[in-house]
Order: sequence, then C-alpha cells, then structure tokens
Amino acid sequence: MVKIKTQVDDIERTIYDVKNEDSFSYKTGKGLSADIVKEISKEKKETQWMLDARLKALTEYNKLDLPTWGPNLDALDMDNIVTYVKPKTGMKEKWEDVPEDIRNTFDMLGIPEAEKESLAGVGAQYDSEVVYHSIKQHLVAQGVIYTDMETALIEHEDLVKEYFMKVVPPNDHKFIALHYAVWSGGSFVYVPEGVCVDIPLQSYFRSNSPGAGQFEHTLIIVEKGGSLHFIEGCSAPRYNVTNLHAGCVELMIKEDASLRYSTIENWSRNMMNLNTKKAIVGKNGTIEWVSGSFGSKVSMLYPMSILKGDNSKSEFTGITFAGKGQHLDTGAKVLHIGKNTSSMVNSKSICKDGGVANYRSILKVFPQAEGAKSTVSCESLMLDSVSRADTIPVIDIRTDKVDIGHEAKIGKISDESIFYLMTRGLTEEAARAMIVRGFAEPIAKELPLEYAVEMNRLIELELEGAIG
Amino acid sequence: MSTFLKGINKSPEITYRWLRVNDTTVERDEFPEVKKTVEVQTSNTESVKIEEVKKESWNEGNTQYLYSSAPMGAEFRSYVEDNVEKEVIYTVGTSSDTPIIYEYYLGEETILEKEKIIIEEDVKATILFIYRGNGSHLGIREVIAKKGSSSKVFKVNLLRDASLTVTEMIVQEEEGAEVEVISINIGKENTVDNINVSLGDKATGDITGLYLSSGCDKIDMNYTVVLKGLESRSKIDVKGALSDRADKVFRGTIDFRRGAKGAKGAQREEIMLLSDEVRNVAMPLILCGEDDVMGEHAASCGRIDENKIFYLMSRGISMEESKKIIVEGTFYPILDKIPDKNLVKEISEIMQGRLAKI
Repeated sequence: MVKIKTQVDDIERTIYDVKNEDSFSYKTGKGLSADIVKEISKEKKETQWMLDARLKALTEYNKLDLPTWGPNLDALDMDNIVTYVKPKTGMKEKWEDVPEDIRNTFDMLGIPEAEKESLAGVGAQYDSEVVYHSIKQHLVAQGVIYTDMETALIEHEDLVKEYFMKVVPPNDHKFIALHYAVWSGGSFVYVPEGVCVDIPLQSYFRSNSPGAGQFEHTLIIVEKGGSLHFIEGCSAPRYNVTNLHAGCVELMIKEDASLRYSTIENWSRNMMNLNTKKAIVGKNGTIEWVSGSFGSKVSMLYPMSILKGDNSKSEFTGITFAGKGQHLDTGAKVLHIGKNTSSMVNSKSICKDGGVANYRSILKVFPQAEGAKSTVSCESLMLDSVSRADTIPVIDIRTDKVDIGHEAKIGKISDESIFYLMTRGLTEEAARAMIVRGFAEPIAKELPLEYAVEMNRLIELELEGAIG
Repeated sequence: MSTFLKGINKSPEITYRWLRVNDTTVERDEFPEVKKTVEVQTSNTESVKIEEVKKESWNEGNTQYLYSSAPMGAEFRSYVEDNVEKEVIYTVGTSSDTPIIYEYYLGEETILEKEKIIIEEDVKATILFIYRGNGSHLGIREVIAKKGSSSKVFKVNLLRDASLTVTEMIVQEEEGAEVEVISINIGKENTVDNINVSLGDKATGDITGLYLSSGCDKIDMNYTVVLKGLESRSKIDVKGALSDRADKVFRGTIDFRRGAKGAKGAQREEIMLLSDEVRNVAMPLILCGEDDVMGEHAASCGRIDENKIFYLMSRGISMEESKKIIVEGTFYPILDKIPDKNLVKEISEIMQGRLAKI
C-alpha cells in the first residue's frame, strides 16, 4: 500500500506579498564604492566620525572574503544591489500623517492593532528610513530614549558614539563590514539606570524596492538594573531580483540589567537574510533571545551572547521552519568569559518540501570562566525525505571547572504517538497537528501573541493520508 | 617547526573558520628514518590469507580506495603512497573465536602501511593492531566486511615519548554485516585518527573510542558513520580524559543518507577534565537527508564528580586514589571489550602512571 504524505501548508503569505508602486526620492548607483558611501553619509548629514567609520568598514569589506561554509550565496550579486532607497515621506509622529500607501501596508501588517494592544511605542521602517515613530509619554518621563538611529546620531551623539560598533566589530565578517559601510535606519533604545520598561517596545521593517538591501542598525543599551523587552519583526514582498538583508543588532546589557529580544523573521522567499546580532552581558545581567525564522530564501542567523560579567546569563529559544526553496542556517553562539556564567539553548527546526533547516552553533568557555554551566538542546523534525536537517555544533572548553551538556535529536513523527492519540478518539489529522504544535510549543509560548497565532495557523494541516 | 601535512582530517561539514576546528595540521621538523620492512609479531593468523600487491600494480583491480565521506586528505594519502612499496591485503576466510593479533614495535623509526582487510561472507573475527615503542606511524587501512560477517577491529596506540600517529581507516559494510572499530589512543604525543564507516542495508557499524591525553599531547579525531542502507544501525561512543595542557579535537558525525529508511544512529562523547589548562573541542554532527530515521547525540564534559570522590574518600581511600578509580571505572566498559587480558593490564598500568600525576 502506498503511503501518502500529509500535506503541510506553507505559511499564509497573502497579506505580506503586497507590492507598492516603486517610488523613491533618491537612489544610489548600483555598485559599492567609496563615492557611494560618501553620498549616503552626505545625504544623511552625518558628522565626520561616522563617515570615517563607514569608510573604514568599506576597507574591511574589500579585504574580507565570503564564508566557505553554509548555504550557497551565488545568487548574491552585490554589484546589482541598490543599497539605499529613501521613501518620499519624512519622519512622522502620528499614523494618520503617514502617506496612505505606506500606512495601508503597515495597517495590513498589524502595527496599529499592536499599538492598541498596549505596546509602548512603534517604529516602522519602510525602505531604509524610519517612517513613523511614537513613544509613550511615561517612558519619556523615565528618561527612556526610543528613536530611530539617524535621530539618535543628532540628538544623542555622544551616547551613540560610545557604543556604536563596540559590540559587533566591522571586521567580524564580510556582510557586517558591508553593513557598517552603508547602514541606514534602525532603532536606538536607551534604558537608564534602574528603569524597568514594563511594556514591550516593537519595531518593524519592510523592504519594497526591487533589488533593495536592508541595512538597518539596532543599538540598545540597558543601564545598571534596567530591564526591557524589545520585539523585532520583518516582512518583505516577493520580487524576482534577489533582495539582501544585512542588518546588525548591538545589545549592551550592563550590571544587574536584563533584556529580552524577540524576533520574528518572515522575509519573502527571494530574500537573503544575513543578519548579525550580538549582546554583551555585564555582571549579573541576563539576555534572552526568542527567535522565529520562517521566511527568506537563505538565512544565516546566529545571535551571539558574550557573557562577560560574572554570574551573567543567556537563554536562547528559537524555531526555524524551512519550506520549499528555503535554506535556513540558524543557531546560537555563546561565549562564557566571566565566572559562574550560565547559558541555555533550546532550538527546534522543522523542514518540508525540500527545505533545508540547519542548526549551527558555538559554545566556547574561556580559561577564566570558572563555574560555567550550559545546556544545549536541539531537535529537528523532518516532515518528508526530500528535505534536509543538519546539526553542526561546536563545543570549545578551556577550563575544567565547568558543567556542560549538549544533546540533539532528529527524526519524524512516530507512528506510535499517532496511534496513541487516535486510540483516545482523535482523528489522524488532528493527532499529527497536535504533535507538531506540541513540538513547537516551547517556542510559541515565548513569542508575541500575533506571531504565535500565525505559527499555530501554519500548523493546521490538510491531511491526505499518513505522514511517513 | 615546518608544516608537514596541512589541513588534513577535515570535518564532513565545515563551520565558522575562526574556531580553527574544521581540520588539523601536523607540524614536524624531521621524521625518523622510514623503515621499509616492518617487523610485526603475529598471533593466531591461520585464518588469514595474505597477498602483497606491489606499487606498480596498484591501478589494477582491488587497490582503489573505498568511499569515504571525510577522507584524511590527498596530501596524506600521497605521502603514504610515495613511501610504501606495496599494499598488503589480508583476507579472513574462516571464523574464529581466538583474536588475530598484529603487534608492531617502533624503535625510533617511521613505519607506513597501506593495507586492506577483507572479512569474507558470514565470517566472525576479531583483529587487534597494537603499536608500541616510539617513532612515527602513518597508515591507511581499509576494511571490507562482506555480507553477514561480524567483526571487531582494535587499533591500540601505545607509542611513547615524542611519537606521531596519523592513521586513516575506511570501512565498507555490505548487507547485514556488523563491524565494531575500537580505537584506543593513549599514545604520545601527537595523534590524528580518522575512521569512516559506510553501512549497507541492515548493517551495523559502531565506533568505540578511548583516549587519555596528558602533558602536551595533541589528539585530533574524526569519526564518521554514513548510514546509506535501509535499517542500518550505528553507535559512536567515545570516552576520554584530558590533563595538564592536553589539546583535543573530536569530530563525530552520524550521516543519514536519503533512502536509509529505518536507520538509527546515536553518538555520545563523555570527557573528564583533569586540569584547567586543557583545550577540549567537540563537534558532534548529525547530517540528515532522510526523515524516517532516528538520530541523536549527546556530549558532556566536566571535572570528576565530587560526590563520587567524597563517597570513596568516606570509605578510607585517598583523594588521588579515588580519582584514579573513577577514571579507570569510566574506561572499564571499553577496556572490557579487549580479548587479550595481558594487553588490558598493560593499558591499565600506563593509565595509572599518567593519572598518578593528577
């Protein structure tokens, strides 16, 4: 008897694949040269130190080579990527003042609803510039700064200069060097000492121009004793030309401070998502990463926690779903440097229809990191045998005073589990849906509500038969 | 020091280059004299037929390399081929409960080998290769386990002083074959060990490893099992201890190929860290192109469990003795597999000597 595989739907993409007419007020030439970098800086009216930083990064970009591991990046042709596109509107304070087509796009993506649901502030990016930004009065009164990067450079230059490029150096790899040369847009958040931001801050990105790259920079500083939850979500429409996202997130968490950074990445299937995220955590500090990777053609995404301070902690909870035509190479990196640091990584991945979902990581314990503790758990669920799931972790320990455990599992939904649930009265389809939802549940419960709902919607399976 | 073999023992899937773990490089100023005729002591070899194939005949018939998903490297193979005069083919034609033993002694010299072992259909055999003395040992050994055969192959590295061991073992298992490769690495000072096993339908291929590195020892292991066949099975189980300034890299890969329905693979590495100056790197990989499989791996490392030390000390045993007992106890399940009890005693004595300094 031929077993028919269960049909698992792709994520509902209709509302994301909206293309506005490609109107823009300024576009750079197609390639990458020092003149283009100077144009970008001049257009933004930047000071000399930022231009110098951009040019230094360009030098690094020209020196560094592409990675020799991971997904195939042949589809990337930097000479044809337009690096900077600025929409016709300037910064706005209220949604009603934002141009209609841009507002409609974000309305469909749920930003006003999110704001209505007690989010403290919203920053929305449309093609390299922050279009709208709002922040609640009580945060302002507490001294919390939440603005776009360009405004932060003007109004809080010393603060930005102190931390910009300090968490992620420009020579880290080729795409971060590119980012620093041409970065545009992004969020700046500063939480003063002792302030707990009790409502999540959310930013949203959008890329709408054919061939446009997204190079937004997010810089968050949480001072001693402060706490913050920041939510980042991405979406882009489908185009024929390969799009590139090479953003950067720098997080500085000081002593006794904590930061939760939640991301849902749902870029369209032509996007190359080569994002870099790092956090430096001070004494007794905590970083929590919550990461959902659903979109893009190629993703290389490995949030890194640098546990510099004694007793600092890192938690990473992530899910990756790779469908047809997708190669998602994701994971987490943790460096234990201070004493008595601890980390936990819980990563799940699902792949189907020829998708590739790989887990790649590094757990490194430095010689001085006595008392380091870490547990890593990664699980991969394969829904058919045309997909691929590789687990490529590295554990590098340089001291004996550690307690380290790492485990990984890979497989399909077991027939016994299905049988058990069916004996309890569930249909086969409902049983499979329940098991896959259960597999993703530890991550779903950490995600913002809208995304958890979307993820569960995805897992409503159309069943034609048994899986496997 | 000049570089001798660059970028060898490469992982089947590479990762971030800045970690410098994807492969290894052997540095050597000079080698001891290459010994053309290797003296070997043998025991119980009645069931083994030996054929020697001179270099001139290598491009014909049996002497092409078996498939390996993570070969040691072209530079290494070229060096061995250039410096040996023949390939030796051992065919084990009949079953025997008595282990077949080959013991090599190096007296400050270099020995190289290019060998093939064929275990015939339905034959049951145990073979031990033991290396003592000091010098350099480089070798390529291929094993063809034919249908229904069941064999254990031991590689025991007991070389002393500033020795070098670089060995590649490639195993190909036909339908229903069972092979366990047991690699005991307590030799000094630089060891590069590559074992690659490919499994046919219903074949079982296990790799069991034991290592004890101390002083300035360097050990670089690359153990891969490729599950190609339906319902193939594999376990990679490696236990080790590192002390002083030992430097260890372990790459272990379970590789499920598309079509290997019903295959199961498990990998485990357990490491005891006995000093705060060690370098301990592990890359436990699972590569998977087939959904109807079960794969898992686990790695754990840390100091000797203090509760266990406390328990033994409360019974009147000193701390040093307690640590030795615990380390030996961890290795015991692997040492218990060795059929030669005198060899087990010899290995235990070497280990006790090293552990006496922890």
